[in-house]
Amino acid sequence: MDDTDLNLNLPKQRASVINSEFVRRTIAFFIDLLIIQFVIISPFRELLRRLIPAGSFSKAYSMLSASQSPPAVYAISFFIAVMIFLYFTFTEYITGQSIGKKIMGLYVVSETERLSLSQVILRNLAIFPFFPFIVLWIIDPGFMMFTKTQRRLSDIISKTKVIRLE
Amino acid sequence: MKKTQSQIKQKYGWGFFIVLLITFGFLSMIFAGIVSLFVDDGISYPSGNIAMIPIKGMIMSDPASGFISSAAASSTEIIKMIEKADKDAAIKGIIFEIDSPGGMVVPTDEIALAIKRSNKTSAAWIRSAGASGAYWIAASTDRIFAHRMSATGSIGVIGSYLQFSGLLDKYNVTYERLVSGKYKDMGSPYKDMTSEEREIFQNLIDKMRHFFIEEIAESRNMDYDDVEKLATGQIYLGYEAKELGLIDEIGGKEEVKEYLKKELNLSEIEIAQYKKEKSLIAMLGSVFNDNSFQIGRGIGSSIASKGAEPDYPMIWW
Repeated sequence: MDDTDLNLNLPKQRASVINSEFVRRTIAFFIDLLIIQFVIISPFRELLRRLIPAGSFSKAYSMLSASQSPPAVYAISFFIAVMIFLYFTFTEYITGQSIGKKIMGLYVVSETERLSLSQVILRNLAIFPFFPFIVLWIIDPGFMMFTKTQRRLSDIISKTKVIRLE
Repeated sequence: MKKTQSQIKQKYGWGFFIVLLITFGFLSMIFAGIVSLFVDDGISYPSGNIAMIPIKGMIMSDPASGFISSAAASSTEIIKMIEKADKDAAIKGIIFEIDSPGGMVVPTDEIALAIKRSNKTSAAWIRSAGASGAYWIAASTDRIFAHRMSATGSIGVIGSYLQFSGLLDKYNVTYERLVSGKYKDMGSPYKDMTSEEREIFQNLIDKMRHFFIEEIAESRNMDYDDVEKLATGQIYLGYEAKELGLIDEIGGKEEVKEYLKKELNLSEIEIAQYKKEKSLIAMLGSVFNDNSFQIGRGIGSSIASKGAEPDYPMIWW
């Protein structure tokens, strides 16, 4: 598999293609999420349960949106977001792969000569759960599913690609 | 292809990722620990629809400090639990699991008032002991359950203390009295109590007894005089207390749950056991015998000077 654009010769009226690369990237992402949940988020589980009567991280996010949480919840959420951002940025910049991508045989490469730190930072800004980055939570997967190149908008902006090496 | 492949950096082994994950996990734990120092009150509030708040041991304001852990019931912590349960929309009712011989006057009243302020239906579940101040707290709930042999009642006030003046005389140790007012050292264990001082103390105790009887009469919907007849300080077993109208039902945890289920119209009861999380030092300290510690603490607090604090007997109920 090389880095050429996909050429599936599909009828023009077909709006989206979900191919193996999309599936691989999605699986890689969920593997990373599992690892993040276990390593980065679980140390805060008990503390968040004590701080928030509803008692779970997903409910904590709902309360965050409504600005009803104690300040510590915002601090914890920000810390977790930063750690997740550092996880993806650090692994992709140094090795070209996160753990999920390594398992799925995927690499992050640049359209230019070398993958730079600024490119990796740019492609991972979508992690932050606040405006304007949170908008990318919808747009990025949409771009992957409904464009011919199967790239996230963040990939396009940062001039990076995710490829698979056989 | 060539350009792309040149970007594939040296392949990293799993060791790199493992070290990275350990580092990230460690940093997360450190940050969680730092945040909890500032915001965590050390009390666990699991989810459920009925909060169970323990009241175990002597009732005091704050937990004992120092190396030795105390099994005292802290009014500060119990009130926090009550307020937390009150604010939690998921919590429909509160069970107070009581196993206490009583305690200090003000912390007991603080807890009782907090229960009365709460908007949630509450029930007291008296286990081995729910006497004196613990009974006052139980009476503030909507319904009291006790085992047939629970020690309850003991409506009254105690302010007895050890007095060492004879012992000091025996060993030719003198008490040098330097006070600004004649009653400033009343209740000092180093001297005999004068008749005036005794009268003052007895007056205080009688007033507190009056408050106690008044509270029980109001909470239990009984006549003041009827409660006063029972307020000899006598302990009543659970079945006796029921006959006297001091408790509502003989029963345990299941009976309390059934009561709340019907009262609150719940399809099922999910208990949220609120509890104080012990620190490592407290866990280490709890291997010592708490009873011995309390006795020693009581004697020690009678003997030791407390600086600016007035040296009067500790009054309990």
